[in-house]
Amino acid sequence: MLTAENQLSHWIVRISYYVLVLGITLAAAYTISVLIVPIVLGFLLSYMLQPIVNRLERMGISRHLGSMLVLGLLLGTIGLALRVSYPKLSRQFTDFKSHDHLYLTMLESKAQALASSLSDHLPKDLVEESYASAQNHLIQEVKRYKTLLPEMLSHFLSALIMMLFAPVVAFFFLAEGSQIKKFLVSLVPNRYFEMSLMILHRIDLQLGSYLRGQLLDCLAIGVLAAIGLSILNVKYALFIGAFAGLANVIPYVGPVAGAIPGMLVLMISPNATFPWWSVAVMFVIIKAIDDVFIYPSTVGKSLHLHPLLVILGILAGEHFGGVLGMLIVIPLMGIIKAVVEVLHNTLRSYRII
Amino acid sequence: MELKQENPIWTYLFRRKVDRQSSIYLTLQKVPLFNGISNNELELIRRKLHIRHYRADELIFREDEAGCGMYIVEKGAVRITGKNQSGQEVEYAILGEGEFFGELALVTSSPRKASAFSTQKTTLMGFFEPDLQELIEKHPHLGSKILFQLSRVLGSRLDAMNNRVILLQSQLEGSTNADS
Repeated sequence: MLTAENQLSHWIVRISYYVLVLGITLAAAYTISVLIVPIVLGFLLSYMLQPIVNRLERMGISRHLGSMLVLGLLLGTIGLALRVSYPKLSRQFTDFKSHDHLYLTMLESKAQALASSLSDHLPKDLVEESYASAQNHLIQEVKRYKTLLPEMLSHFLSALIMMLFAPVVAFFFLAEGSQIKKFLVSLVPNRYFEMSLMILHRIDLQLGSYLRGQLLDCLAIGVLAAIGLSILNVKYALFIGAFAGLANVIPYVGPVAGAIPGMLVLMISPNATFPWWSVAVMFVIIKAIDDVFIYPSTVGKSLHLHPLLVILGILAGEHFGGVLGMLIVIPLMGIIKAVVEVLHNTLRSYRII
Repeated sequence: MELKQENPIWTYLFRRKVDRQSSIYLTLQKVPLFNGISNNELELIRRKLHIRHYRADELIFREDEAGCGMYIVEKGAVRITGKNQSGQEVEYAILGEGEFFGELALVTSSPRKASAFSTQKTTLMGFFEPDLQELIEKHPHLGSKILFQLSRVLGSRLDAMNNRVILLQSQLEGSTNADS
């Protein structure tokens, strides 16, 4: 039996312990929130590289060494690719910056021509009003990006340092992933631990195939678009190809958004070899190749989202986070759907719901 | 005091861990599923095992629930029960150290056929389908050995079940002949 005094000191020790644990957890959560981008990136990177490290492990190479080799090879390749393509990329970038005024005026004259041809068929007031509002919107956007660009560049160095943290995170997830999972499961009470193990395993499988599929699909589209645009002699083919690959994450809107910059560049290029619509035709062909050959073998039916849900998601993403929101929302919805589906099925099979 | 002088300090630091590991190896070697598996391979399995501690009379899993793997009794004892036709709880077996249960869930997704409770303070080692899949993927040689042993265990269970069915059939035929 504890005396009243002993009981009091027992409670003081207990409360101090919980306060300490809470403090450490909050401090850790704050640190993690600062580093959330490299942590998420590292996590995604580890998902992408997992099959290669597994294969190396099967060949008898330890998981730590395999993870180091794969990450080293990847970083080396990226470094080499940047080293090789940097002069071209930087030339394209400075060329674009020095010509942006010219492009803007050319775009404006093209738009004016379009508006005047439209006013022959549509009410003049309506065309003028729409033209003025579109012009305002465009000027505002250009201004925004012109202030955003130097700001982005000034943050580039700190972002680069932060990004270097991502491979470190990826290394630990790759090398110690199953130990981390085992540790997490060990914290769950006996009654729910088997179920938690199954939930983690299924989420891991679903997410892995979805994220790897998406990345491969984007990569394929990006490469195809860059090759196609180079064939059509479109300026900034690499940038536009990369953008098209990235935009491909957004269903329906992505392929169209990916084609627009290419069409605009051809439209305002004074000595373009091909008409602007050739880019549209090329993107239609790429979309067909993607739908028939690439998508079924990469993403497949691993995570089918209803079209209405996708459209609502894109609108919500645009509302909350602009273009970045649109890019993030679909993979995020995919992740949430995978988690909810697995949770629902597993909880039902364990007769908890 | 003499003992302390004889042994270097690191043996005291690591002794508990080493003792614990060798106890796990000894238990694993008794499990038919891991017959013919080398010590190095046993180490790979040991790393996958989930060690769980149960109080006396604690539920491990319930009949008709989903399950994803088997348990090996390291310490203590486990009571396996099920419901008979009238819905009453019937005891099927009491399992002791080195014995295992729930292995069917490693290969099927059907619900658990019985319930399991600890009868005293018990330590179990869990080996589950995701762990088996990982072993098959990363160490196919070891994975195929475990799968072979698992099919042997399940085959012998099927054999025993067949014998029981034949026995019951003959008993049934005998009773119908006697009635007529």
